[in-house]
Amino acid sequence: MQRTIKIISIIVATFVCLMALTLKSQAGALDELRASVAKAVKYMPGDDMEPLRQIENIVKQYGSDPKLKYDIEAALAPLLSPTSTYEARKFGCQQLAILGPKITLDILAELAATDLASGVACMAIANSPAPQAVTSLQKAYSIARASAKLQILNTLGNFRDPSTIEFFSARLKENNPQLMEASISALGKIGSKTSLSIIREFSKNNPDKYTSAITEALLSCADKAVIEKRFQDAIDIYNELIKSDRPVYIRRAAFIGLINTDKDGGEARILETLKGQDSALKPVAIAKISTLKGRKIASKFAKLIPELTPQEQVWMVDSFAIRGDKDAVSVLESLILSRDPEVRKSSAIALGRLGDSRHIPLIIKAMAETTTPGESQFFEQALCEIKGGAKADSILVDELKKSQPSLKPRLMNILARRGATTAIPALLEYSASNDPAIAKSAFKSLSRLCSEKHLDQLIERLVSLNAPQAQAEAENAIASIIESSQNRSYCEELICKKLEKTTSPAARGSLISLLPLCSGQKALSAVKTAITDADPAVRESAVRALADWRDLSAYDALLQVYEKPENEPCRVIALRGLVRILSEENSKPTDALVDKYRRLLQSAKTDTDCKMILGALSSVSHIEAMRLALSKLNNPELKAEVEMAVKKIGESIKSKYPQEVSEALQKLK
Amino acid sequence: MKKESQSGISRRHFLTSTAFALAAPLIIRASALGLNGAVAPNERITFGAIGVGNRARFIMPNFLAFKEIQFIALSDCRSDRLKSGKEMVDNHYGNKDCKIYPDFREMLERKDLDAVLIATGNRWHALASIYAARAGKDVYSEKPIALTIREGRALVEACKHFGTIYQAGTQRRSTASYKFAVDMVKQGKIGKLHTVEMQVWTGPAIPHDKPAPVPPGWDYDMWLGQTPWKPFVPARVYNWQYFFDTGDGIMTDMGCHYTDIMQWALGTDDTGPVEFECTGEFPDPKKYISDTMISGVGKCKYANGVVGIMYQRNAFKDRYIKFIGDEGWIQVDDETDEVKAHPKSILSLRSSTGASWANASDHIKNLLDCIRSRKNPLCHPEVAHRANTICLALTISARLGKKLKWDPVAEKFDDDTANRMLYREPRAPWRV
Repeated sequence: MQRTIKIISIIVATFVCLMALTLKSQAGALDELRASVAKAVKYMPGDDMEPLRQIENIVKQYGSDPKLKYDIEAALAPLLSPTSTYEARKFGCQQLAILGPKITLDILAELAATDLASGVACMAIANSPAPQAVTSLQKAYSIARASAKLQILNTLGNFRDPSTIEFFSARLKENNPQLMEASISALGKIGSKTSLSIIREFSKNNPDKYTSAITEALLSCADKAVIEKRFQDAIDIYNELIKSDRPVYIRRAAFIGLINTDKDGGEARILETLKGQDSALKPVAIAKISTLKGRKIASKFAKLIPELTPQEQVWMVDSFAIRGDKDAVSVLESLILSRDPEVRKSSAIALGRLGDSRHIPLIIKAMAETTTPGESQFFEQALCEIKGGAKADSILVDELKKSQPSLKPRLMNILARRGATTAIPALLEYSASNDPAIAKSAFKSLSRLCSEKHLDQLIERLVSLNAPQAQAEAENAIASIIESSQNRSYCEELICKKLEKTTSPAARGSLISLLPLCSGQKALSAVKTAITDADPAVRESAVRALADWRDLSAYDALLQVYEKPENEPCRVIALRGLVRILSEENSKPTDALVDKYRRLLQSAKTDTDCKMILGALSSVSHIEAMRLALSKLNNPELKAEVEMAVKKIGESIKSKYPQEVSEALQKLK
Repeated sequence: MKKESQSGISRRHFLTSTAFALAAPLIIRASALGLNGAVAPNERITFGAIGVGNRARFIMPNFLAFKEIQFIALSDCRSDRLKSGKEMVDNHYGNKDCKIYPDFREMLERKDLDAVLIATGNRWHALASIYAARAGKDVYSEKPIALTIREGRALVEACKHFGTIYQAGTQRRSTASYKFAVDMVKQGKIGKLHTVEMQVWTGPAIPHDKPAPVPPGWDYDMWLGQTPWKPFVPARVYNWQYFFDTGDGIMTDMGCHYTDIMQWALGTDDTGPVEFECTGEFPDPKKYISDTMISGVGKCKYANGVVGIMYQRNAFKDRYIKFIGDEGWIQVDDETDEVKAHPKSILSLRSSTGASWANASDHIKNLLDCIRSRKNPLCHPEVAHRANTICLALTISARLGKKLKWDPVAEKFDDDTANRMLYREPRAPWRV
């Protein structure tokens, strides 16, 4: 018991302390606010804005506190004074807008009647929670200048207060078009029966005048009538606005309004419009089908399709697609086989989004009837997007097996785009096809779906191709797996093993071409061995593989080919490889690197060889590289390349070797 | 085909007159007229531009690339921009037909104008759209679509009221990379989505400056538009994005692109989060005149627990959106249009690529299709308003230094002060 009393006393003491601290800090905040306001009243652009930010912070921090709110509001009042700068008054009004003014309403109303500050004063009054805001604006109007009057009417109109109807009605007699329009707009926003009758009366007395403002006000009144369930008022307005002498956009707006007031949700009106000849409203009618409530809507409207233009049919299909209910889907199932290609296309896109695995055979059937790749792509896209996951993939595989050969490549591509890994066994089978188109497509799809674990199967397919035309696709499929593999040595092992057992020169060539992607020691020695293969095509593949090697390890073997080539093509391939490998080392310019370039130049047989070597050498930032380039200056065929190399190297080393570079550049002249 | 061309009604006639109510069909395909891709005059959709500054110059070539679009009028409150804008359009068409208007209201009175491109400063986006809707014109408006949340709602209502076809310039919704990312999220490829990260860049702070004379050829009052009158201060005018009166800083200016994509992925286009909390660094008032956030972090929470986090930090090039699920993530880097994902296998599902956001052609095409079909475009007013609301609510939270609860149905905060920041009464003569 004693312990409980102790705890309670501590809580009470803490509370009292906190209260005291809060009161102290609140009092401090007010003092701070008054001090900041005293500085802010003189604010002009270019001045320190700290006082303004301090005021903002206090308004934000304490503005919701009912005890402090009025003190803060009173403290802000000096900002509104005529002796304050305009910027200070503007700022004061903005702060009061955030605070929601009450006790400063009279001052704000006076300000609202002036020219320049009317806008900001009204901004503050518009946020006032006090009922007097409306009357203070009316008072301000009576003393306001012309431009301020418009501001006051606009702001007052936004209160939508029925008690102001008489005030606005009186403004319609002031014979100032701007003020009259603002008053019509305000009466429309109020939207009551009384304000509607005033607008109608005004419209009757002012034929062909203020039509835009009156129309907008009538539409506002109709909206309000619908909200208040005065449907007949709304219908009367819309019927007046839909007349054929009205602008199209007003007729459309009225048509939408009428649909929204129809007891059946607009179904009968839309049907009637579609059967009629009012072309301005037909697109709107079709668009509204998408949101009609009720069952079997799509079935009902689908019956009208033959009577519509092809464009309207497409719009109708889109509306069904937006509905997306069962009935709409079943209508789309029939439309996908329509005679009109645009309708077929739109239906396919819609079924792709709305359908499921059950629709796959139907979409494939429709796709088979397409005559151009452009048309087919929409059906392919639909099959890619269709829901159903693994079940849909499995149906697609079944359809692939049943389909005619011309469709198979497209279906295989779709399976790949869906990421259907369950299709891999079927695709591996098709990769062994005799039909080049089928085998190629199978490998293309496998390249997107397979991972490391399928590598041995793909290698097997590559070495036992039945359609040799698919060799590049098979190599690409394996290459893409190796490139994305985290375990290159595993890939290297598999390919090398297969290479040992493979006798067909074409297959050996393919396997060798994949080894640079692995770039391991085992792969390199397999390629080096293949350089002396009995078959010339295999030997050439080996040279190409060395030339594609990804690091310096192939350099010596390649140099040997370059210096003692079997034939000219091999020499050129080797040189290209050597230049590529060396240029990748250019960022680390050493004497040894320049020596390597020197040796290439010494063994060069043609000017073309030299040009290629000089091109790579130009990126070596080394004094010896410049000297080496310069040594070829006496060959007129190489002049351009030497100049380019010397200038480029010179630029990169001139700070270190200014004299040598200057002399080298002189020699170029 | 023959029948169509004989009884065809001109699009011009369709859009501007009702006298043909007994005729049909409505639209004739250009191919039906045997034009081999050229567009018949009666198939054209006439456009006017409101605001022909830098943004308009960036996007207008995308519009002009459509043969069915014809720009017939331009308006701007700066004579230099009107002159150069007219030169650009006239050069494109090889004539001198484009008319110019210092006051867009006069341009909107033209009965032969079907639609407008609004590429003004942010303070004008909603209001100019509303005036266009009142005049019966369809609209493509740059983002952010409104200065305040209530102004955005007024825009939605005006478009509903007049049946206006309106497309917001949040064109990433029509960009292949973003579409792919959203599809992957919707298809559950990253598992259950729990967080969406978005990043815009660190904003500038603008040093103090003094009033100066209004440059010749400017209608400065029109430039200010609905915002409070104030003297011409170059630093404020030329950096309007970074002043609360005329913009809302980077988080809203650019953030609405990403909140739009977040809303799309979440399927919340007609609603929004229920909670906002944002903290940020504002410019030092001793040195700077600008008053919008330099950097910050904004968080919003949806009713289903998904959290959106908007970072305002780092450089312009670092902007991105990242969807994070319980089984992976997918990210679009805005600068490069590159899509990244974990697991990487998600990327193999991408079957088509397209132009980056810098090319708004698909977005414009969607608008043109909808002008004909009277259906809602992808970024119709409600969609755009909800995306914009998230940014505006975050900056209100930052300004008040408070976590705010939000009722997305009533569109109100749980805080009176915050609610008073939902709207700013426009300066006359402008009226929502």
